[in-house]
Amino acid sequence: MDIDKLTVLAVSESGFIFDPVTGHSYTANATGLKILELLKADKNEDEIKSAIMDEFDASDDEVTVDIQDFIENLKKYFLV
Amino acid sequence: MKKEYIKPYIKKQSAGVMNKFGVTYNKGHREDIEGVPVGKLTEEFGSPVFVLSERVIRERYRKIYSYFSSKYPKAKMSWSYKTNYLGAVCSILHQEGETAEVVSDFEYEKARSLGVPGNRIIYNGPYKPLESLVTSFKDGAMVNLDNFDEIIKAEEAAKQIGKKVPVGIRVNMDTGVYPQWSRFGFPIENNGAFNAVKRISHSEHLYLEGIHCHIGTFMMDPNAYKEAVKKVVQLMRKIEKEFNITISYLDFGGGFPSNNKLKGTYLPPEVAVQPVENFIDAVADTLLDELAPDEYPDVYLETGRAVVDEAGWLISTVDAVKRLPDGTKSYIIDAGVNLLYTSTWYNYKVEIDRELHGAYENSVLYGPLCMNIDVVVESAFLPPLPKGTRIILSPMGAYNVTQWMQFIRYRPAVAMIMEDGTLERIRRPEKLEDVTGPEFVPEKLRKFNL
Amino acid sequence: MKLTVAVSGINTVDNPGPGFGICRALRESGLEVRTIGLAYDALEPGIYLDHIIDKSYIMPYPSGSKEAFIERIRDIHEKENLDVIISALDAELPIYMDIEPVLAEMGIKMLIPTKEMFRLRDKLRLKELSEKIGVKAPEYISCTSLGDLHKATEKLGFPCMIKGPFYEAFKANSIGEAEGYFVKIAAAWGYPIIVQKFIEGDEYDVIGCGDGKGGDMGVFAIRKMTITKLGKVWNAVSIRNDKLVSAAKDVVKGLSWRGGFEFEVLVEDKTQDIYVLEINPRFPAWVYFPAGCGINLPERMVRMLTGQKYDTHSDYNSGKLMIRYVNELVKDISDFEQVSTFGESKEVKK
Repeated sequence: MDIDKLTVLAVSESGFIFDPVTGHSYTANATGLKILELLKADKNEDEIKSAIMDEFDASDDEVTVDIQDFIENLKKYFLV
Repeated sequence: MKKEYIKPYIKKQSAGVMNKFGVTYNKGHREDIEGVPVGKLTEEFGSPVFVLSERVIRERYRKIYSYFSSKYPKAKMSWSYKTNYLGAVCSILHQEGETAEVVSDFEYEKARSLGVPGNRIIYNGPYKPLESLVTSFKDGAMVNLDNFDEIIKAEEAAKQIGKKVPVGIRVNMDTGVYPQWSRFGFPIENNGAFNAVKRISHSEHLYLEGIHCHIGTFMMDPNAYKEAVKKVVQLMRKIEKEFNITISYLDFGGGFPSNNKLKGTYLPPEVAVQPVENFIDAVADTLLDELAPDEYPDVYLETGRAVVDEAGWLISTVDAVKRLPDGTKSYIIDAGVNLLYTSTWYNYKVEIDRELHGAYENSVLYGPLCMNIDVVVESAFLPPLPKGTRIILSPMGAYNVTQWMQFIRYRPAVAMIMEDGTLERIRRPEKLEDVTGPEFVPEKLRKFNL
Repeated sequence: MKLTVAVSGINTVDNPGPGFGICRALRESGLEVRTIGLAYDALEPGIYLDHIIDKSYIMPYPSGSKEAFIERIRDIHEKENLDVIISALDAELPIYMDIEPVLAEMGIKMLIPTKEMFRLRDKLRLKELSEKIGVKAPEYISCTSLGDLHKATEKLGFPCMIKGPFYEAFKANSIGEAEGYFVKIAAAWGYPIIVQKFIEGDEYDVIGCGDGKGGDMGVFAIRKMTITKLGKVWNAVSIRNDKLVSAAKDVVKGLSWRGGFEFEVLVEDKTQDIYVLEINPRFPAWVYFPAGCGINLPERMVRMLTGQKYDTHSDYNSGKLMIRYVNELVKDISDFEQVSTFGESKEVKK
């Protein structure tokens, strides 16, 4: 996965994300920010899943589908 | 102790599109219907399941009838079978005192089988088979005729039973609304109605007793009813004078709206749809303005939707979650357009059975059919729904359980929450024999080897 | 007495809402007012014009549920203790008409038309309106098919105006042109389409405010000098025309008009007869113009609602010119973050 575009994002604690290259802005929730952070650190989907499951009370199935969905969204926005 | 998991989201912001403060239409969730937990209903009756409330039906009816009868001395109401002809629903309304309004031979027989006397039935509609006209005349039903051929057919029926029978005529007119329902009945404007009356007055077998009209469906403007009342009363005067007869009843049909959100309307129904009292005012006030007290005829309303729509819900279940190639979130639920014919013109209220966190997004609700048109709700603003979430759609009381079809799947159970809080299954889910029962496979087709 | 007034329609864009002009008029009035902007989008310019609008909040769409709308106002009211809301957008007026009693219970006052008044200003009821107020309306026929269109143009002749149910109007000189516009409008806005007799003349606007009992709080008339492609007035000149002013006053009296309005009329060249084209049930976007000329209608409205004495005179000079212009502001993306993430602007200390 190409994460170059993710690394330049300006991420605020409020969940507001600004892309200084394209000028687009985004909002994300805490779980979303966490996945973003892990993706930026070049973690793969399995690593992200276990990190999320360590921190949150969630089932393997649900988290797998959700991470997939989140990455699909990033693709839709041409961020990865 | 781990933290509560909230589904992740990221959303691009675009000008002109609301942020999370902008759209909150579906923020609510409901855990029960009329005090009965959603889970209990699905446990007992399965999913999907239509749920009706006895209390709401009675209350809505009483509200409308008591208002109407307080404004007009000879107010009558007749239950529009086509809106919802489940036996339990009709029986509630007959207990309340409504007669039956039917538009086909099937509905006529259904009303009779529930124990409605023939002379407590109003028989409308553009097509009435000869045999059913004969029966209805024998029973003494109020029959409203739609066209000249039907007048001739009615004469034939009356001749058969050897009696001169009373009839009404259905009329149409311009009430200032678009589209004008001009295909039913005789037009007032070009004297069509007058000529029909003339024809009946010459008949040896028929005599005119009433005038019926039904100006449209889901009418938004009460003023149309004022127009209708004015024009019908004018017609009544004219024919009473011309033919020296007395019209004993006027029937203004139905068409009053419910709090359902019509597609293409901008404002929420609580704001856009005027209260039912305004429609009754339009009818009753205009009647009192136009009529002298000694000439008050019986006046019927055949309000269906406004009585029963908000007394019904559909519970269905999310079976799968899918993101479409264009990024739209979609859910497959276990109820489709086979059950929800009205989804063609309504944006239902969508509620979920639990509080869920996460970003709201516009989502599509697809039904379970293998067809592209099976879209139940085109756009609902929902948080991420896990599989198994119950979705409660409303209002559902009007037309769905009459217009639903048995395509691919069995039709589900219909439950009623009774006034005392107990539950009744007023229609069981269908099974194979319900579908195959009427069929016949010829002998030579019965054997095959695969 | 310090008052807090919330105002919607703070979208000063190419199709401008009146909210910013209302706030500016209040700012420059004799009242001590805290102005609150009610926006529907995080990019409505009024949010960032904090020298005029003290603080702004994002509202749920009026097409959503009534409860959500009331809830949001309740939230804002808890923080701001609103005295008055001035609604300035057609699309939200029906919901405010509906919830006005609820707001009144909270102590928030409004001066807006009743449902009956709102119904009467519907384009399709121009005839009914014109009879009610005793001002002529151009003859028109509503059509739902090409057949209707042919009949209508035979009756009304050419040129005629072909108008959509909500927006757009074209002058047609021939049946060919009429059909072209008819099909085009029907595709975009649906039916019915209104065919209106063409009347050669000038367009004028009168702004005013009715107290709901037949009295007016002053009126102010303009001739439109330039209009934008969207049909919005861009430059205008104030005029004094007794006929026009008395017609406007008759409207207020005849309908017991409640709240701000814009009375759009046409004066026929040949006869100098006045024809009503439309009544907008709220202040128009150029509401600051009369305020700048001494007829401060938002101030008068707020004074009336809060039980203070207010002027009702219409003493202004003709020949005052309104020049509208565009301007750019420089803000930081964090200002946008604030509004889009928290639904309200950050208060700027003055």
